[in-house]
Amino acid sequence: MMKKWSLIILSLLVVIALSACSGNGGNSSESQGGTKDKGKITFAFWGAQSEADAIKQAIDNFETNYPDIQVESQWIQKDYLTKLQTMIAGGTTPDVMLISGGDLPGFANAFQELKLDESLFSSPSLVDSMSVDGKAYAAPFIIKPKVMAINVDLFEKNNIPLPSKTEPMTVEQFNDIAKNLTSGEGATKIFGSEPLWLGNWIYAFGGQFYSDDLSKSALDSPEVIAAAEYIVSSKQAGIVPNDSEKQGQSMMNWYLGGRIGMFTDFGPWYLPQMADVQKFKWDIVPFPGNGGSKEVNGLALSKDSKNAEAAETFINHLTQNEEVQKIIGGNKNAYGVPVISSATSAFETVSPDKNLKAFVLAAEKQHTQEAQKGTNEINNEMKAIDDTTPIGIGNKDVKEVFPQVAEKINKILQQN
Amino acid sequence: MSVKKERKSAHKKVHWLAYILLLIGAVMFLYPFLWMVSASLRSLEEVAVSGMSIWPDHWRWDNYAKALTAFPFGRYLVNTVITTVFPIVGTVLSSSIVGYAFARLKVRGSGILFVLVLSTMLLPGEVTMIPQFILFKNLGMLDTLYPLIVPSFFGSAFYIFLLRQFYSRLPVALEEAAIIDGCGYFKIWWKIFLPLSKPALMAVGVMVFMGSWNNFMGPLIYINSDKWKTLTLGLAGFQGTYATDTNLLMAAAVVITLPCILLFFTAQKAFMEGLTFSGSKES
Repeated sequence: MMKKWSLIILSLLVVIALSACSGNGGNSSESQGGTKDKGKITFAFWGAQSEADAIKQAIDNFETNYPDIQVESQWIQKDYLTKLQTMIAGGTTPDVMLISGGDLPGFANAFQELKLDESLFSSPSLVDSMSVDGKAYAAPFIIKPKVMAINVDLFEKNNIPLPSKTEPMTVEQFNDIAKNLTSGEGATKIFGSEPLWLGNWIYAFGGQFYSDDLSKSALDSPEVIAAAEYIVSSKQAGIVPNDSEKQGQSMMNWYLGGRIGMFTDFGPWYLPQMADVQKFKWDIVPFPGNGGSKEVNGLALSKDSKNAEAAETFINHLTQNEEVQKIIGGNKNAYGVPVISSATSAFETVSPDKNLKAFVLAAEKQHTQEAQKGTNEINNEMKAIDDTTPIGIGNKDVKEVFPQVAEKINKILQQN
Repeated sequence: MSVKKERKSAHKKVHWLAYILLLIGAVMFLYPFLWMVSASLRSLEEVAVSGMSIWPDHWRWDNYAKALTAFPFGRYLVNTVITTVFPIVGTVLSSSIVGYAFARLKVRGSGILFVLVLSTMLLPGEVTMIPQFILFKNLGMLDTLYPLIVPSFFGSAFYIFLLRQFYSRLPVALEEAAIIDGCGYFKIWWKIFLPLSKPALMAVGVMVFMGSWNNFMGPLIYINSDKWKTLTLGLAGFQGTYATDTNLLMAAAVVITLPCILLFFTAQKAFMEGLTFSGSKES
């Protein structure tokens, strides 16, 4: 008898809980498939809690200015592209999506073309970075440039004059300073810099990944090969950690621990972590040789949006409104540099005692991360650089490997 | 006499050796957990410079307060509990009734059907992700907890296999006696097989618990609104694309991992029995 009752109670519990699982599930699912309520749009974005907080403030500002349009935010904490692909394939594409310039070409088919006025943004290259085949598929929203963080104490200890805060040092100067900063042996060795990343350094040598019209790989150009050779020589000279030393290690942790003199791959996302640093003095200077590359994130409008007008109003407000751009740029978590000139100074207020002007200058001048349609295939070919040359774990000459990789990439570009 | 003594001392040596090896193994498995606890009590700067050390210089308990208030912990916890408890109930009931049928009901084609069920284990989740997403969209169940619960009520190949192996070993006489007493197949399963298979069911329950409690991809794909999010999504919020709040992430991870550890220790005996019994050969 007891067993029978337990079975009935169990069944009831299942029914009650399952009905509780959706609450107003009917409404939620309706909004998934495209709601009929005029003025309601969905907006998907990625990021850590701190970044999401900044975006939510911007959404609040929009809703205050446009009370007739409600924004349903879809904060995707991780694996953003997987979720985006699933939603697009499942026919539930959000009306507006945050997208990085690097991922844009792969998703452009799902987006509407936008008519953008280049003059509204701090640099015309920003609209280019959101364009595929000359058509803009997203509006620039935020810029994440790269600068160089230095350990001021190490400079002073080695009697090295501090670098200029506005003028980038040359590659030769960087190399000399890195040598002078390097000292010690084994587990306590101090390095001039963290291992150099090709993606930043080819620009410091005046090179780029693709030809200006993006039709050909430029990996076989003398500038790129010179950058590659310099990266190899920096490893051989011991001014950066070698492969076995860096294996499984976080170079940012090494910098925080005082073992790295110049951290060259320094993006705004590191600023909140640096706010607590008390063990040494540090500051920010421009990337050597005008190198480094900036990531531009934009807002794209879904091709399937049922409320495209409201979605476009939302995109325009978030990307062109000075107040919103100041909210985003001045967020204490250093989300990124605003895309409109009148708001860029907001970023400098994030950490007033540091030279954040270097970020603002880089946002203006730095090369944008280049992107192509066949990103995955191209990345697969690029693996050969790490696998076969001393930039990674191989021992083949970069002069031999780079032209071969360029040729393979050119074939992919022709197919696309 | 001396031979006995020698044997005894050799036996002791083997014991000691076994204990030493076990101790080394235990330390190796325990160390990452202790590091996690220690990192949860440090500042970000201290995490960066601490290296292998697991003793914090300053015990920063406020990391826990910060981590647990960074997202709506209570709401996420309730959602996680719902999407864990019901899949356990669903999997245990559905997989055991199907496992029982495969073990005991000899009908034509059941062998082929069993192979078919097992072959679904070969399909990687990525392949079924989008079709399943479309299915739940058409059912109007997106952005609800249903997609994380409903599938468990339709059985799972691995657990069906596990329970089938268990049921195959139970004596036929039990079933025959029940039939003589007038039981049907359903009653035999409910009254005899289910109570006798407690260790196996516990093992299934613990495994489903681990899988559901730590499920990340399911909530990521199906849930959009904050009100239905689960703890694993809360944890992901501490990781940016490039930088991570390691100390807060570890503090939240310690709290979220605790139920798993507690459950494993309380259900350890039954869990091991269930697995070993199902895996052993028929006597």
